[in-house]
Amino acid sequence: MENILALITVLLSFVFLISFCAKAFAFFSFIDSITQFGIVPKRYVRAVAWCVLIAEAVLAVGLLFSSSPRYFFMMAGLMLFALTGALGHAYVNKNSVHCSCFGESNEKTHLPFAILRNMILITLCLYVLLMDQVQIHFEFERMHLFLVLVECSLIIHFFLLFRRMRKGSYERFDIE
Amino acid sequence: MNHLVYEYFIWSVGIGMTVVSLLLLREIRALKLGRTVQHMIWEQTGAWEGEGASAAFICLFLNMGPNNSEIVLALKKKYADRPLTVILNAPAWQANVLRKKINGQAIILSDETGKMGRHWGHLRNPIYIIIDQYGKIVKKDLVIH
Repeated sequence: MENILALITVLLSFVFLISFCAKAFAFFSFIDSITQFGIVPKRYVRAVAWCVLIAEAVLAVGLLFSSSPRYFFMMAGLMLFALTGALGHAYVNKNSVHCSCFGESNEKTHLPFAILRNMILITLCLYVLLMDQVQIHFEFERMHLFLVLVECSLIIHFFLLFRRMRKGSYERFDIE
Repeated sequence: MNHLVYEYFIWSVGIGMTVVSLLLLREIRALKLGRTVQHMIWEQTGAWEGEGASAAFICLFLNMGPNNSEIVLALKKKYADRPLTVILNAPAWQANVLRKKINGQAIILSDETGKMGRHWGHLRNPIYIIIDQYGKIVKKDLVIH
């Protein structure tokens, strides 16, 4: 049981870290995505983008280091619920969006898949909350785990950026 | 304890190096994209030998939309001292229509395939970049309208 809770904590922390890195390095795509959903008034779009970015960083750190992670799981669940709501809204209105959940992309988001992914993450949050565990014990030093996760998310982002750069760097454009 | 501090130090150095590599990669990408856009615009506008080749300029990437002329004029007003080039993701006749509407305030080029604009991701809002005389992108921002 302890191991499962620890695994869920690490997984969620990693998801938020990857998401934070991707959004921080492609902030314009993220701002653009928020406007695509059409939920937030245009004048507040930038403020909301900053709030989401900061919340993701706080969650990634808080889930791993906090002495009472219940509040962070609750916050993570609520945030994921809000994001799923936005995706659901786009799906119901048949909007095609680029959610930029994990960085800039030219591919349209497959909404049912994105909603399913978020539902699984919400279920994991609820599972931890229902377990009523006061403190989650890790076999490894928390700081070690955090540094490994940060390094992994940065390396993933580096390779994505590298691949993207190689793909279109020598392309010619037809403008007239 | 010392062993732990040493390990943290090694990890921090690793993370620092990855961040520096990422920032370098971003800079290289910005320079490559900036130079490509700069050269294409110079080719099209014939600015290779003229004054345009030595000046920093603004490049606005637009999709088809009803407010395009307002967006162009607002940006021109904001950066009155810099030449503005608009890359319109639309056929040439649409570019002609916009050209007439803005009355020569900016150079309008048509990019029918939209390939150029997509280098900044598939954005719904127009994005503009400021390219200096060396081809480096010095500023990048969205026009949320």
